[in-house]
Amino acid sequence: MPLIKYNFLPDIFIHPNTRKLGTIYRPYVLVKIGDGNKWSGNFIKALIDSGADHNVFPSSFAAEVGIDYTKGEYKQIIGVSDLPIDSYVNFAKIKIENKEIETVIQFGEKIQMPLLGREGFFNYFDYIKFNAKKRFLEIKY
Amino acid sequence: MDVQIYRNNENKWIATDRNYKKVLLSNKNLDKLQSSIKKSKIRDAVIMFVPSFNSTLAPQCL
Repeated sequence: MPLIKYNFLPDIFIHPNTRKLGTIYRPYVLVKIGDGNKWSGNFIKALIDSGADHNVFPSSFAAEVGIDYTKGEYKQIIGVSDLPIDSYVNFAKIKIENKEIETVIQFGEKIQMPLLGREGFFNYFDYIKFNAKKRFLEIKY
Repeated sequence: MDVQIYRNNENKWIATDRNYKKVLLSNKNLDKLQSSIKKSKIRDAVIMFVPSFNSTLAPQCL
């Protein structure tokens, strides 16, 4: 059974106590999105987010593969803020390594960080396992 | 991976090589970055958003 392994990737982070610059490791993966036979030309660094219900991506990625995202069903996204974000639910494909899934992505203009959520990403795999101590994740299918 | 490539790109969209060694292009606006990528005919680069260094990423729900 195929197993995809990604090391967590570092971002720059200001430590809240020392105010010094450091690194914080986050569970990112590289994906391409597609529609029909068309795929994005470059890899998109997306955050694996077990707290996200669905996949959410900036709308610019939809245009690249020819998806008119505003034709999708309108939905608001809420999170830790009281301000909802507008999004549109669209059928799309996501490719990670050699695995392609046909799923749905919510595209929105105000979305900055591409997120891969439980319904639409996690549920296509046998498991997604995080090892925060050793800073890696495994995706099995 | 050298995070120093992020230092001058806080809150920007960047395109890097697959090894995250070099920033190929950057822009605060993803649409504009995508246009530049298209003009430059760059392929198989990594497109990413560099979050604010003082931010915490929190989960989203619907």
